[in-house]
Amino acid sequence: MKKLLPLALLLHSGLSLASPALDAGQRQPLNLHAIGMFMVFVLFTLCITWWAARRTRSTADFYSAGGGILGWQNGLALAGDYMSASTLLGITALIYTSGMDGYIYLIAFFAGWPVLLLLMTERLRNLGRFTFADITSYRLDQGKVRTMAAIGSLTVVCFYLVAQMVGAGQLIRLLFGLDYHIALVIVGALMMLYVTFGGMVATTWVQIIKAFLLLVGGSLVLFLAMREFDFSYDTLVSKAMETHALGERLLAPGSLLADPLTALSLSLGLVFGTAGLPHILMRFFTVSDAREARKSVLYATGFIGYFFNVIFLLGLASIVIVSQQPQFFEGGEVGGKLLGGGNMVVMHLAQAVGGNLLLGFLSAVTFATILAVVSGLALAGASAIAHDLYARVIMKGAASERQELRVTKLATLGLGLVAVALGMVFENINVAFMVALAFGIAASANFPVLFLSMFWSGLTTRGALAGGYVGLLSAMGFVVFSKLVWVDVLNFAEPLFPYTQPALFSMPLAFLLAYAVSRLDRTARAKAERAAFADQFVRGQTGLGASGAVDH
Amino acid sequence: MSSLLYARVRASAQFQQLVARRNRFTLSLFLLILTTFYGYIALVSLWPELIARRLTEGSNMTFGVAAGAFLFVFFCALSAFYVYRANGEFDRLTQSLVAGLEGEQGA
Repeated sequence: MKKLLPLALLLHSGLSLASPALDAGQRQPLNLHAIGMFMVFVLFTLCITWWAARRTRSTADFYSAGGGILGWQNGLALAGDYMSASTLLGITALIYTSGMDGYIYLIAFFAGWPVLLLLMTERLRNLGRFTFADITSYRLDQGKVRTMAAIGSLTVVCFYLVAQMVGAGQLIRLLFGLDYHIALVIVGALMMLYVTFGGMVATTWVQIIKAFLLLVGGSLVLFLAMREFDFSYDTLVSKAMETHALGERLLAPGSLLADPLTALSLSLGLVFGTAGLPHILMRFFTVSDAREARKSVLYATGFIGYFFNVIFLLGLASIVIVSQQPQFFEGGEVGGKLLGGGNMVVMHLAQAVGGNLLLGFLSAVTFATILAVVSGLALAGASAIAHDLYARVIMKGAASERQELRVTKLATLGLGLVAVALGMVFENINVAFMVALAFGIAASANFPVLFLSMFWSGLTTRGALAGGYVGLLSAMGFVVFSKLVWVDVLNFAEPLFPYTQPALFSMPLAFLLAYAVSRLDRTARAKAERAAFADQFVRGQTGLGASGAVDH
Repeated sequence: MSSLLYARVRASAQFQQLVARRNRFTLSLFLLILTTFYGYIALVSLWPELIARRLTEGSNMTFGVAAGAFLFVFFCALSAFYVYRANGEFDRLTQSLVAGLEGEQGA
């Protein structure tokens, strides 16, 4: 179990990079190849932002790219959201150290996609417009339920954003040799530029380009690495088994799923947390209709499935290639501590098979990856503030488009500043708990209410509020009292809550409360809300009345 | 979209048929995914030797990797099958449903 938890965390963030093992002494010399290639990426994406800014006029353009993104484009963007820097770095590192466990992890991580396709895609697209709060508040009290959903979104976005910023700072210092604070300012500034000027159009294209580069970069490293094994999986595995300390046990399950309860909590958190992440859900509204939304999830599933298998092979290849070269170890001691920490395995592999140029390319792609994810998060947060809280709750729908757009841009700037500031505050704190928290809250506060609002006619405002807020608070409570915060950050001796993944406990709790409170709700309002499900059901099933693409 | 129109849709036999068929289809795929995925996870927890076992003597392809790779392909194929039917058959049903309603309205 101790082993499992950090893994859970490194998946969606650069977090394991924030572990204490990585101290300031490991700053690398300036990596000119990487910086050069990254500059090209930035220039190119800024051109796209300029192009996008000229066609971003309405709120629909800003939040959902006018619904004009095509299925395959959105598929790449979704895959890009999922193939984060830490998936590439963290899981190759996991395979490098534990072999089969990494592959099992990839499978568990992948299984959320078909579930998302079957359960959520169609109704999300048919019922929503800009944010998932559109759906949860569809037939419930706009003010209260939207506020709750927006708080859930913002909490997830903030924790996730801080985790990404800290990870980004550490990673960039390592890969580019830039100062932590400069790295944060660069990430923050570029993010604000992309989002405030280019809105969803620019954010999506940044994500598409980055996903493409990541797929190409990963495949290229794999191609070059596999040349050393005559492109034979069999040779690769036998050499890896010869080299690795685990030997024949390399492809046997290790300790990852030794504790079934933790494994279950983790897989629930991953699958349903993904279905509650505001920046992922927002992508469903960027396509024209449910038909394109389904296609985009199918494309995303394909890209992710391919990439995950590439990662598996990269991990195996680095066992043979990286672990035997003294240049990648501190003090040139083979089998000792890897230069730059365990997460650098795939970077070393790139250097071993493709030299400094390939290392630079992969580093630049990793930086681009962080930038793209951070931009998506900022956009999701800004839309929760401007569209949900400002336009719908405070102004009750009376705000003009221009006012709403101005608030969105201000909110983006505000979120950018907050992210940079918090990134600096948390520089030396182990922020591993923040990703557990983001996923836990997404799975416990956002997902249950969203799911029930689409599938269960009985959900009422009171039930939604009870479930949503209890999910939020219990997920936070479980994480704070777990080892991640109670012991690792607050330095108490023993955790009060034995598991670090809250989903198995907080998610059913949210469902249960939403159900029970809705059942007990006998107000006239509740009756009307239940009756309104019938119309919502037809729209969810057929798309009749759904918001369509905006013409330009 | 008026409530009246929604009520008419709801009452139509075609709509009910669409919903019933799609739900049955989606549910069976969903159960298939859950069984294969949790079946695999159960094997990992309960029968790790099987995961590490080689498929044939002298080959390095183990059961765990082969079954895992199969899951990747299988989930992609199921997704493709779902999208194929949802975007084909079910969308056609929806369209003819909407067209039928508009026809009625015109009359």
